[in-house]
Amino acid sequence: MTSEENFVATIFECEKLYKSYGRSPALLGVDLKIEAGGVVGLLGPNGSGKSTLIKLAMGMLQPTEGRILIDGKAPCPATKAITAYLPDANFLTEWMRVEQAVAFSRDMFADFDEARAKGMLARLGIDLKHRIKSLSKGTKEKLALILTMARDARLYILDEPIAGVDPAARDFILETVMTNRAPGSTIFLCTHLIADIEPVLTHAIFLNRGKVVLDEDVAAVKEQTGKSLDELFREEFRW
Amino acid sequence: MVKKLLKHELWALFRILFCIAIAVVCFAVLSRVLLAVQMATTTADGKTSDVMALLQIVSLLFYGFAIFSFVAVAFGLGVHRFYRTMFTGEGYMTLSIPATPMQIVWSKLIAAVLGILFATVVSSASLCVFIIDWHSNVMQEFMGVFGELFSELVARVREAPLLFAENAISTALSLPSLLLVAYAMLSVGQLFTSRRKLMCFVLALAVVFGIAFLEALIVDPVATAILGAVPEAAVQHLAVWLDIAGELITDVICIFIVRYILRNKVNLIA
Repeated sequence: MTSEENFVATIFECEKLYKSYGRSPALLGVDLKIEAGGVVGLLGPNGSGKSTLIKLAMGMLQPTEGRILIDGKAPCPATKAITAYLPDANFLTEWMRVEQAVAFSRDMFADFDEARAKGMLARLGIDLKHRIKSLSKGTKEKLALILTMARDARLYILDEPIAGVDPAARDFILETVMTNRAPGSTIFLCTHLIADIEPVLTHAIFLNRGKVVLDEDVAAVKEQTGKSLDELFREEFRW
Repeated sequence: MVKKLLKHELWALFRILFCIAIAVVCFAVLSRVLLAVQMATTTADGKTSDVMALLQIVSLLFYGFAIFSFVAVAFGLGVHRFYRTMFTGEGYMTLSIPATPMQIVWSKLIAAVLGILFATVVSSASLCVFIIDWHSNVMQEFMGVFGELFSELVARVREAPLLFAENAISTALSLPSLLLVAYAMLSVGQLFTSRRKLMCFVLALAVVFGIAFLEALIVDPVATAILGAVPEAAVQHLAVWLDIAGELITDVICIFIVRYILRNKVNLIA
């Protein structure tokens, strides 16, 4: 692959990325280069810097040092146009009805597929007329996921999509993610629940106390170590 | 993108403002009805039921409070929406939208200004409901007072149309200025990682006192010196233009603060 092709194929890149909250460091010199396509697991225990890295990618935080690039550009409207982001916090507007939230996403994101979103909502039995504040916590999370995965984005960033939900819901979430992603897109799955997502991962990044301790293809890891990601994770992050 | 953002901003604001507008109009109608009932039950010697008098006073108090607070509520809602949709959980959605920070801010500013103007118009217009079919003598006196005020206004406009226009511009600029100062305070406040609302309040107080201090110590003496050096005919015009310049400078500073913070220092930790 020529350097030009390699550059074009890099969807996510960090160069000597540092981020501190006051005197507390969150990321310490993160260097990453993720090629387009595939499912990337950003894995680490709580407080390892996963959400910080994600928010830096979305321009919701600013680096203390270094830079982060999405499709070769610093976070800006152009990168947000190709990135679908599911945060780990509730971002839905509580007073809206479900149909209003769908209409909002349709208006704001050119790649939003309204028919697909409504299809997924109908499958789950979520009434478009319901107010978001009347939905249960799990249903709100599913709605948030649907609004994210109904986009034909080039990069999907999902921050802890399966935390705090039951195993059946986890299967639904992962199935929704894998079947609704746009062809050729890249998925960034940020979680500490390795065993559930390991079957779908193609690339794994371990983050520990703000530093990258592993950045490999999953197949290569298994070949080199003979262990699963879950086993490696437990070894790496043993207390 | 600003049009789409503005559409949703207007809906988010006006879904509340319409409800308040209906309440204000209802208070006006209720006050008018109670006044009519009271006048109908007043005896020839001017005596009226204590209950009616009390109801009338209470309804007028509520109505008066409603029309004055409606504008304040509209302003507060505009400021609250800026904070809530930029720096709380809803900020994740807002900052994911492929729009520049200034596109987002302009949509919120325009919606907030329209909301405040709507509140002002509704509050003023509700007085018309209140005076419908007023008792003829009172109506005549009321219209007489309004007529005098209107004639006075027309005379002043005819006498100095340019000065009137300058004052209108200054008044029109003051509304977005207030909102932009509030946005700037909120943007600076979110730089702190804890007690953000308290820091916003402290900053707002600091700005208010700071501006008053600057005005008293620097701006007023300078303005007096400048105005003293110009011909008397131009003094009033220059005074208004100095006000306008001050407001525009404040607006530009606040826009730069908000833009810089949203581009480089946004700190979404909700």
